[in-house]
Amino acid sequence: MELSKEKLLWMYQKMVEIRQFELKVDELFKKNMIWGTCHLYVGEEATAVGACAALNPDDYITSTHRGHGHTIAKGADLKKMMAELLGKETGYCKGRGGSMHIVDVSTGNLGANGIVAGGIPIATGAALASKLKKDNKVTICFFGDGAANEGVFHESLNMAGLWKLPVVYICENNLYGMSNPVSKSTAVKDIAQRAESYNMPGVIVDGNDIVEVYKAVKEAVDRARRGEGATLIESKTYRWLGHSKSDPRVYRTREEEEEWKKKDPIKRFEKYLEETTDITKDELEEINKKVEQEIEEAYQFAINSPDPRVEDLAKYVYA
Amino acid sequence: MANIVTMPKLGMTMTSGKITKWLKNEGERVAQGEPLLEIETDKVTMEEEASFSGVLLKILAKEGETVQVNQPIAIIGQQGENIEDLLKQSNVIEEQKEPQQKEAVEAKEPILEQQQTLKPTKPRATPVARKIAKEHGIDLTQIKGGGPSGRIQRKDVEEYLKNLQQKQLPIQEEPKSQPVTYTKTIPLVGMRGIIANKMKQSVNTAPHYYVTMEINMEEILKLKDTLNQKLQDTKITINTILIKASSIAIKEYPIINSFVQDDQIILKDQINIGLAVALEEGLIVPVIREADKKGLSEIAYEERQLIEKAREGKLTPDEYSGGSFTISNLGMFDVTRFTAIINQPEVAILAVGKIKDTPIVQNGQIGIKPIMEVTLSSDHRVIDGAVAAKFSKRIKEILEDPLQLML
Amino acid sequence: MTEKLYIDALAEAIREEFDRDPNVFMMGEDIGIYGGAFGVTKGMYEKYKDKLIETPISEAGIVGAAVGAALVGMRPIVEIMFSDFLTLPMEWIVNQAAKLRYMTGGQLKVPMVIRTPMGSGTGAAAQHSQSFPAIFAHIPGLKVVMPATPYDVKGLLKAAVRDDNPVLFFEHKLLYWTKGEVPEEDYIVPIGKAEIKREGKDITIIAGSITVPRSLEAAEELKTYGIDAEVIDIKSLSPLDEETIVKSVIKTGKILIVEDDNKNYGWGAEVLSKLVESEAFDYLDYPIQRLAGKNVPIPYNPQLERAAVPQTEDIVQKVRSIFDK
Repeated sequence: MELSKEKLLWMYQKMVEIRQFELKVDELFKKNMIWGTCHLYVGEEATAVGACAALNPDDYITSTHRGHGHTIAKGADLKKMMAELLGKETGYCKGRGGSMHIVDVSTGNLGANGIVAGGIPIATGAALASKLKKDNKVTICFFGDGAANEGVFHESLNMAGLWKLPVVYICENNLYGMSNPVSKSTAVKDIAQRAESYNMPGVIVDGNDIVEVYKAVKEAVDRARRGEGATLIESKTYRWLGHSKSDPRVYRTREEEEEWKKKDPIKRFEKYLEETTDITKDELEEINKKVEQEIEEAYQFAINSPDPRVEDLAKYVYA
Repeated sequence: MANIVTMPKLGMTMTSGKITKWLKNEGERVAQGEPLLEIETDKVTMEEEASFSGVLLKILAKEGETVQVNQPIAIIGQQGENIEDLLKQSNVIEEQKEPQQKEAVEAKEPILEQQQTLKPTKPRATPVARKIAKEHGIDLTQIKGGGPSGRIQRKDVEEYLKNLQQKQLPIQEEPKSQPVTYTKTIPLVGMRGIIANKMKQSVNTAPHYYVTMEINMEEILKLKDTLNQKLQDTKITINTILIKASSIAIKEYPIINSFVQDDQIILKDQINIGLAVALEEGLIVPVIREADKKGLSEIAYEERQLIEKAREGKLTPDEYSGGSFTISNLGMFDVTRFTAIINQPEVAILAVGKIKDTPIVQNGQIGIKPIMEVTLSSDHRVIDGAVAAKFSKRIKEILEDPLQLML
Repeated sequence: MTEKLYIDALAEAIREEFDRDPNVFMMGEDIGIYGGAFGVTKGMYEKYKDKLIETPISEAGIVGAAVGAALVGMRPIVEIMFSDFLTLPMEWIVNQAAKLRYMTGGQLKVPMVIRTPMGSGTGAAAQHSQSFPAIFAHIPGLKVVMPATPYDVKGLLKAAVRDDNPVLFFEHKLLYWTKGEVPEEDYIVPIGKAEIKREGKDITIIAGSITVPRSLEAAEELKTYGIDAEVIDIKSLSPLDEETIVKSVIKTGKILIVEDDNKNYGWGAEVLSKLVESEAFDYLDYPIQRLAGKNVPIPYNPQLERAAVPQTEDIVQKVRSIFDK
């Protein structure tokens, strides 16, 4: 499972894009330029990018309310994302969806979802369609530790295990469902243990190690594509910021946060690249600068875009 | 700065008016106070003067259109002025304009209407019954509802309409063998419709009864001649004298000057005497206001003015509404005696016949005297027989002893 | 044309859609060899093994998966065994299927049909007898139909399968074994169109699903009282065909709405409100009347069960009272 230099640089760039995009969003939110709320992905970049790196461009993903990372990792246009967050007509959802509903059909992204576990049966259905159509596509279903306790988690994984569907369930266990720690919400220690109930492999990975994530997901994706069925991967990670923009984070200590920041997935990947490849610091620095510019362009595009017209309020209710 | 000309309210009861003629064309100058257009209300046509000087920039309501009071009908301003905004503004209002051909505006009595706004009472009727009634200018209070709780339904209105139409057809018998042909049908709309409705309503709601009295006119005729010799432009008529005499009598019997509303008899204070005037297309009752406070020559002058205006169709609504009591004189058609239908909301009407030389016994002697028969129709809900008799008697006394007119 | 049972016309539509479009398939509990709880897919399993996905008892999971399949180009038909069970996948109908298109600015579409038997009259009591299509008609983004005849069930199912929106398809259980003319050739009954099933001039009876045959029966009986009733089959609750009902009411001026659903906040109230807001208002000649299910859970005892929803004689009675006959 050798990763090419090109792929490694792509992975690095996507992680940086996510990090910088989210920090820009945080800034805009504080300036009161973003309506509603946002759930930021800072700290979890390795999971989305490592997983999507294992997919073909036309494979599917389903995402969550904390979806910016998955969407960028699958190849979304930052301009359209930023425009959507600012509620503009040029946004992915023409300003109708906002942060929690970004969908990018062109990259096989079936969408973020405002309902916890919303993507789980949808991903299962997409995989069922692939099986029926024999189109050889694989679907990755991202969800959080909280979603694993919803009823449809059971219903869906049972069907996927039963029918050997080409789907990879990736549980991003960031330790808290809003404020509720996994230890208080979940009977088992590791969510991956539950895979056994559905007759599928359960794998635990260090979610802040992009290479490890990539390897585990790649194996699961290959397995799914071979028709051997679904896998449940639990990616242990941590969100640096609050659950949403209104979270004072009283349920966890600053010390814990500092501990996890030391495990910064981007820093770790930089170290990995330095130690195991001939990629130079300058190359990485260049990527950072390039992304910075991309983010600024996205912001300029969004801010200068028109709002949707009120006359079009009822557009898109029906096909 | 251009101004919107709106449909003026030309009488207390007017809700809409029909534009019969524009006296100025678009682009023509018009001075404040200069006649601008002619407006027809339910019974009369009136000239309306311009309230602003300037150029008639735009006519918004064409001849023949009926427009609600206060709705825009034209724009007057300076030549070349931009009136886009005003046009927009008036378009918005214009949409509320009444559909054109609506001729028959419901006749409402001013006082009744005031009462109605204070105390809304409305017959129980279904939406479609209301719609049809409105289209035909029918007052729903005249229709008896056949639905649950007396609700007026479509069927009731349609039957009512059918009855009206049947009454309209010629009554004379045609030989049975021949097919019935009609030369003309006259729709019961406009003035005809209003008369039909009002008379029917009066007969249906007011229990009428009649009191007749003979009046010796010898003295009054002498007085009339004497006075007329002294007057130049004005002529005092029998009607002038009857107007004055009845106004005096009403003052003494104020119950005559009342109307019925919601189980109440409401007394009015002004004594306004109406005089029925026959017209080609019907009749109208112009009103001499506060006749009790006016002298004979003043009444005579007003009487002539009003009759002329009535014949030209130029009475304003205020000139034919708000009466206390009506005098209907058919003497000039050689009628000796008749009974009249009360002109509601009034409660009595005096039907006057011709003055006829009649042999009568006076102080044991047979003499020939000019006698006039008057018949008072009264609404028994309000006026009892004795009151009607006393009131008639009072009129008789005044006429037979005309000096009382001067008091 | 041949006479067919409602259930057979429905099955025929499913088969024909399977044959027509490779993306059409069906998901549901016991729809395989067993043929579905009411036997709609009976005898299909041999030929359509690949099209009939027999699922675990996981209504939320099934409907959610159907949404996912629809997003990637399939046209699933989901059978929910009893419409009462629609409460379980409510999330996937209301928050997902109905909204995905709108939330994504038109990027996604969700062409799927949820078929389900509804209604009382089988002694199945409160959790297996409800009719509540109106709940779904309240949700923007969903279409809701409830065919009353074999002809309509076939034509509407085809229309629903070919529609690019999620369609809730309600089949009253007592209609399954009713008969009617069904043509051999392929045809569609458009969603969103009501139909005058019987012309009349005195009163408009607006019915849907099971209340259509009951209203037609009542209309025949009303003839003997000299009342000529028009019967409209509403067919689709969403979108609602205002034009047909408004026109009819302008003609007759009197309305009786007959619903199998219980009355409070039912679809008849929406029809009524549309009528009163429309030009039909001016033609009303009697207060609008509604005859609907009682506001009770459906009881078990057969007398009680029968009394809980409008029967033919209730319709006759109601109309007679309107005409004082």
